[in-house]
Amino acid sequence: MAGDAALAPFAASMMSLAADGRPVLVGGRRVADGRLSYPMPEDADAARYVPVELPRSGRLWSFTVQRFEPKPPYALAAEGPFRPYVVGYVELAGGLIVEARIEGVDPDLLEVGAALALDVLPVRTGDGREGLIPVFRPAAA
Amino acid sequence: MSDVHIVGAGIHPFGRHAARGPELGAHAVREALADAGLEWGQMQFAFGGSWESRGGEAVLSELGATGLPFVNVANGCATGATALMAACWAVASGACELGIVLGFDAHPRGAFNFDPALFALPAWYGETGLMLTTQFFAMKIRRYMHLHRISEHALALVAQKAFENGARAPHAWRRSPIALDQILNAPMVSDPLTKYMFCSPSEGGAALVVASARKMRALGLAGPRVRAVALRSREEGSFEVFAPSLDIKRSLAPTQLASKAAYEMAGLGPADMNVAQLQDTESGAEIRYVVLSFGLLHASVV
Repeated sequence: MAGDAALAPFAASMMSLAADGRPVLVGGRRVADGRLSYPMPEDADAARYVPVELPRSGRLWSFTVQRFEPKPPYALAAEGPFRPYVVGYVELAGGLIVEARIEGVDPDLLEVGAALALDVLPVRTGDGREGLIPVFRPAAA
Repeated sequence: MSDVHIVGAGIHPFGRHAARGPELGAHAVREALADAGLEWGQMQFAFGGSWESRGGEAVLSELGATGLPFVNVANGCATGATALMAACWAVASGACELGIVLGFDAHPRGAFNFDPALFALPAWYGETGLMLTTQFFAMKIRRYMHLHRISEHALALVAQKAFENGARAPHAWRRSPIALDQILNAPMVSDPLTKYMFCSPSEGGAALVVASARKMRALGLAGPRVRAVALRSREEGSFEVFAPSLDIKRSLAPTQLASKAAYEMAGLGPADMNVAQLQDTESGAEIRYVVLSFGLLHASVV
């Protein structure tokens, strides 16, 4: 995503940028039994988890299309009218299913099982906050 | 344990009304009391709740502050069922003999919007547009349709049946049948669910009067005995609303756990049932809940 390099993640617990600039999702591994979750738990729960970088690719587990503009706390601003977006759950090879926007797909042709890879999308809120959010796009063949 | 009976029932029609939420709840209570031929002052307790109408006890300004113990129940979509369970426990324990169970609300138009902090979720989950119940229901049924080869036609049949039932129910909001094609071809709200496959947030209320068997006979009343009431919460591995991540290994769903518990309590099975009422937030939920509570009680489904 050339041109977005100056942007930081929209929120620290949502996504990190690795040293090479690639996005990475950081989940938590529960110390007691190894159970994974995303994002890495915060506050009181954090002590029971250790952070773990999640795999960057996976397969579409389920999806839908957000057809109407959500009420607040949805805060993203659009150029012009609201544009529907695809939301999905992606099963990562490492043993967790994460929820994220899916970009670069036609929802009418999209199928459960599609191969996807992590990428970023620049977003801006109505009050002028900017940042990168993690999205999944079709994996290069 | 004493037997618990339902001796009165009342409902405020669902839809859009000029009345405030507590007035809808109070209307349902008055109807339930009238159904039983009882007075509000005879009630020894109440369990009830609302999400957007100042809890359950907001009805006291309408019905009279008699000093009765009013237990506010806040359990999301399960608030009414939870209130019934708690009331049955109160009566079965012998602590009380006669009381009210109540659920009501007046939701604003459109999909629910919640503060992520209420669910211990980070602010970005709401801000970036992932925290919608409509998305959850759509993705849940999409996964289910994929695994079990359920068609969009089946979703439309559920909605068509619901509108037909509504046409026969005086307290229903939607009272006109809608053709299958119209349901299927309506705009998508959250694919694969169209506008007519979703239940719109509305305004209404329902109430029951419950009594011990002894009190019921003493008052000269009659009513069905509660054979079982069960509630279960999610186990890890359950696919529930507002989840930024899911375990790959699925556990049994709360609906399955609660259904099994209720059948065991009642000494009955799915084949003994003649009628069912299910949460019908959308067409998908009904298909899943029929399977979870009647068909596959012991296998992980989604």
